[in-house]
Amino acid sequence: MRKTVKINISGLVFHIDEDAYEKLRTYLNTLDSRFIDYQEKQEIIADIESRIAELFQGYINEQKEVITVEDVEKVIGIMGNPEDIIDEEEQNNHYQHQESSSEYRTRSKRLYRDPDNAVLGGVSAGLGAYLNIDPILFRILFVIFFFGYGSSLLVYIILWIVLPPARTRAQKLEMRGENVNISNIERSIKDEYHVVRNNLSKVRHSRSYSRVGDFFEEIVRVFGVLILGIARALLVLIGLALVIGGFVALVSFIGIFVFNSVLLSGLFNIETFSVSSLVPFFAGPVNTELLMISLLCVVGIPLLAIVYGGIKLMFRFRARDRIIGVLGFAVWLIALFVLISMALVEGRNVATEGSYTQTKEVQFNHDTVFLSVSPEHEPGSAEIVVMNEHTHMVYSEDQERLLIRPAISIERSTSDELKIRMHNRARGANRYDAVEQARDIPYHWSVKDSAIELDPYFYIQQGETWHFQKVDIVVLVPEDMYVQLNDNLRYYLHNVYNRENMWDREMAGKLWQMTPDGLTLADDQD
Amino acid sequence: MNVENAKAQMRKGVLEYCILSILSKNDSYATDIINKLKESKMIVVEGTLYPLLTRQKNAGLLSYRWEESTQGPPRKYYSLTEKGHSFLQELDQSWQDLQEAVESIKKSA
Repeated sequence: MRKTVKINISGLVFHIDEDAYEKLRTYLNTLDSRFIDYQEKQEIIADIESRIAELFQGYINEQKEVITVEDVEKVIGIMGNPEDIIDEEEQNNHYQHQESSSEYRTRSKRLYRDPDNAVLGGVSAGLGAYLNIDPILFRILFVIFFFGYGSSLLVYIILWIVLPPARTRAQKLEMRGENVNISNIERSIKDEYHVVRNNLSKVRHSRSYSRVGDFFEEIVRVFGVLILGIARALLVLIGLALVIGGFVALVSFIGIFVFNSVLLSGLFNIETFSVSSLVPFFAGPVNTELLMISLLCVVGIPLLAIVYGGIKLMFRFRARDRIIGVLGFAVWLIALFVLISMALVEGRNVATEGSYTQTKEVQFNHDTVFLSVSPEHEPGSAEIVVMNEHTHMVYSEDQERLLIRPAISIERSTSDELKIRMHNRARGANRYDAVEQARDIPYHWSVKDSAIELDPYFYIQQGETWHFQKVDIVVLVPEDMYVQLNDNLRYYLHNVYNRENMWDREMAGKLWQMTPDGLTLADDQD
Repeated sequence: MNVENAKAQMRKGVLEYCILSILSKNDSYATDIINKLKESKMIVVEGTLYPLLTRQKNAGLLSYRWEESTQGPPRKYYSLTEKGHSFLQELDQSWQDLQEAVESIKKSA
């Protein structure tokens, strides 16, 4: 008992065995994929189907109502293998498809097994055909090296498994290396699957015949089929991984880049900032859009290529790879060029570093100085994204600003005065510009009674260009004076020398005394 | 250069010419054309023909009409167009030229 399928070809209904159906479907799919570049595809396939229906009609009668595998094989024999069909028509397309034909002309020699002249598996014959040498040479070599620990046997078996047999006429021509303009030998993955499945069933089939003495060959066969299957599955898996990985990267990139993606940050619980809102701080407003587009291309195109490569690994199909590749690469190069030249132009504006140092004496009559950052002008309920230790990006309701924190340190004053040294750094087109930028940094501090309050940060407002401004504050404390470091200095203290060998962060919230050897933890604190 | 390949190349070159020649005598449907080509060993497998027919039709050399068939699906009957006829004439001429050229070369050699 067998299961049949009902199919409709060209408007005629046939009952067809399931395996025959699979075979026919694979055949038509393969044909379909080979014609991928042509708009006539539909028509050609319809014509071929119509002919197949006609042939089927002749195979059935009162006694035989079902189309069998043998029938399908017969039909394929009449219509020809996809390789033969496409191969022959490729050469005749001189009046319509010149642009597409050129890409198929590149194929040259390929290594096959030659089953027609085979002694064993046709490996030697295939090698001979490929290298244009009498295969007897390879046979002798294989036999000789068989006595070298059987090494040649291993090589032979591997080649037997790996090399496909040259079955169709096109493959045979290809094996000998003539310019046959053959269409791509890539098969659709379904095709591959069927080959493996057929091999497996062949193995099962021949096993049941229990041919004496062929046991070893059987093992090799099973092994070969298994390895082949695993290798193909692996390729598909790699392709899948590439597709998924590339796709996620692409989506995240576009999300971060174009939108300040709330969706993504919500999904993955990460802080994101939109590159598009950051860019204006680097470049003038005129260039922003150009910069964005080229950045998108430079990063996006390789990601797209990864996805595309993955898809190609998963589903082997024919497409105009070279045209797509060249085009993509050209766009990528142009984008890169634009990006680099813009970076150079913009870079000139921040080519030189300059600094501006100002030391001010503080009128101070107390034993203890209370040092803190003032809690004023906090960014409020804004979203903050850390770019580096001292530079943060701040979003508030209506604007984006860069927020820059100072690094605060404490040193021993060389005199008896309490002083504050402000060391501003910035970059500019030239030294003069850089120094000016540094001087103009809007950073302030204030003294109230015995307390010194330092600004917690300064802003680069929207519309201003970021000149990599930095501020280092050094409070110069005379000997014997006490310093009470407020807890809120924890993330501001930077490279503060002390005799207790404490980390900067641990120093906050404690009372210190300046000694000739540096800051010491004050005893009465404990 | 091997014989098989050379033969295939030659055959491919004149296949279109043969199709046009067959159609110049009678309007035919694909299977008629295939049978004639098979008789004269011009093609081995049928599938080769269909892309060619479609190309020639799209190039305006052929046209077709549908005709019902007693068995199987309706058939496409192809016929030469005006353009196809003049195309064929040119091919006829060049075929003759070629033949003469080959003959004379063979004789002189």
